[in-house]
Amino acid sequence: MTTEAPAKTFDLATSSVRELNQFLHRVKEGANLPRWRVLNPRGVHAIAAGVDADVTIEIDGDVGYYCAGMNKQATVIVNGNAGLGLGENMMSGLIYVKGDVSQAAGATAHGGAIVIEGNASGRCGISMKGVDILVKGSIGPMSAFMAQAGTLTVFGDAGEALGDSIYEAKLYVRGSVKSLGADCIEKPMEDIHRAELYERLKLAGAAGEVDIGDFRRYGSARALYHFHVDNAGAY
Amino acid sequence: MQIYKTRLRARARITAATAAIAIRAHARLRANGDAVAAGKTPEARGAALSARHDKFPKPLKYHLLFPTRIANFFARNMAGVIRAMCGIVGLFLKDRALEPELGRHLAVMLETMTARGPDSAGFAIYGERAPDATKITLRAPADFDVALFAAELNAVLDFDAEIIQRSTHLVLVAPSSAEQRALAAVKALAPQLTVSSVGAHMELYKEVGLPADVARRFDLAGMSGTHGVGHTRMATESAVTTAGAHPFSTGKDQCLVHNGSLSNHNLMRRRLSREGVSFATENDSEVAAGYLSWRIREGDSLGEALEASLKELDGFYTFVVGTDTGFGVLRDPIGCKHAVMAETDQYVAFGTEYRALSALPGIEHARIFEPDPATVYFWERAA
Repeated sequence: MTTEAPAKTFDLATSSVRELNQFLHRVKEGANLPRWRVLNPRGVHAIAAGVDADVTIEIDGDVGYYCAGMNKQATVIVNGNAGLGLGENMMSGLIYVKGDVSQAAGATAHGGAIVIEGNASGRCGISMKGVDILVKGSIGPMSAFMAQAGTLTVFGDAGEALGDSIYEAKLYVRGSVKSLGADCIEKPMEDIHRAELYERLKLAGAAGEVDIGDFRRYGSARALYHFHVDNAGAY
Repeated sequence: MQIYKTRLRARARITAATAAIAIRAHARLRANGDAVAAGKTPEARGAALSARHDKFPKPLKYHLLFPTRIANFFARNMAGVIRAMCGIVGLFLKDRALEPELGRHLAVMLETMTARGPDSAGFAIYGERAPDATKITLRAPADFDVALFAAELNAVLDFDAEIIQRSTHLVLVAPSSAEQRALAAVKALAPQLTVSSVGAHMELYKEVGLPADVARRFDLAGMSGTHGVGHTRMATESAVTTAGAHPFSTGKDQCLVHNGSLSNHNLMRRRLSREGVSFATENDSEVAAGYLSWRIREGDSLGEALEASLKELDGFYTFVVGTDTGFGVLRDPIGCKHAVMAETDQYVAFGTEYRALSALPGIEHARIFEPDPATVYFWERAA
């Protein structure tokens, strides 16, 4: 993070998360875009949820559920771990987490990017609809369940049933995959995919950290899109 | 806290703050007491139980039978929007120096989980272990005359017993050898008392009300011990009653707290009833507790009983079980209910939400992790 505009500090030890979010929701388009610093989050839920402004919010500590949920435009930095449903239904913007995140990170998120330095738990990117998720550690079971669009890139390993019932999201995993879910298959990694992956890593500031050639690509076999009686046994 | 003693043999834990009523007694247990105790044990019937209900977990692709729209619902649902009920906390100390503070930490953790369960709360604490003694925790109705009960008990018992009152709960401390006689005497003298737990180590308290109030009325913050588990309840499957609150005792020095809801609890209750397991409530968690007790009675270790529950219990759940030497954690096969753990050199802590752990000492340097689904975890130390 480069420029150092004076940051507004908000201490959750003395104020409520509702007050914080009300302040953040009042930031209007074209305002002088301050940086926000949030202290003592102590695992409180819904910090910086529903922000719709080009602001940078830096949170010093661990956050609870739904941090930066429904985010639009804002950059949210968590210097700690995050609980369940990080950036759920995010539309745009960036969420960066220094630690680990709990289940359902980026659930149903339509756009923007989520970068996680640590590990993500189960159901990471469940029903994702266009978000780009990058996890530098490993992801838990049932990740990218029914994922529809966007990319999920993992430097580490993936847990059981990766991409179960997946639609058109693209999964890039560098480590091992414990098992693939129904209708999820490995697909050849071609130049076009390497280019896309490089682009994603570059946007996340992670280009050059790992060898693109190490990744494998997974996606939908497109066999279970519509119910067909021949597939009845597969359901 | 009120202490009723059957003998004037002072014990170290009586402080100036605790009024003691001492009664000298030496009496004989009535013969019928033994008969009641003897008749209680149900026959062991062998472990053959059909696995025909073994349908869980369903393959994930099963969900494809539903319209695509379900994915959104599922994502939100899993993220806890709808099922944000019940909170569990657990604290297991590795560092003996922290033992006097166990209750204080557990009380803070419990109160933090109020939003998840404001209906009722309870906790099991593994405290002072008296040599060769059994602690019987009893729940009394509001108008119960404890002094009278203590006097009556003295009249029939032929051994030293001590009754410690904490609000609505009484802990009867009796010699281990006289445990059955003590239980029989309680049943004969005061059938309105409910046996909450029996064990050498564990005391079990639960009550309706806000977690902070429940912790206060039992003076949880003042309790010391090696480990403890607590629960805040938001009732979904049955009524808000003290009996429906957690923890549930599953055996001597064993208890269960549960977050989630079981879908086959009625069926399981009927099956277990046929096996001689009795139930006091319509609560699904009591069924889980009864199931584990039954498996253990049939020869399973606690770990094996938990493994078996993965097949037999349908629904979503996180269980934390307290045992004499530690605690265990089990999540359902899809990890539906949240769980987070913290481990340091001093302790292992469990919380439904991280918030519950956030005030623990040294939490900023703890190893924070989520237990894997369908995996039995145990933290124990030598008894």
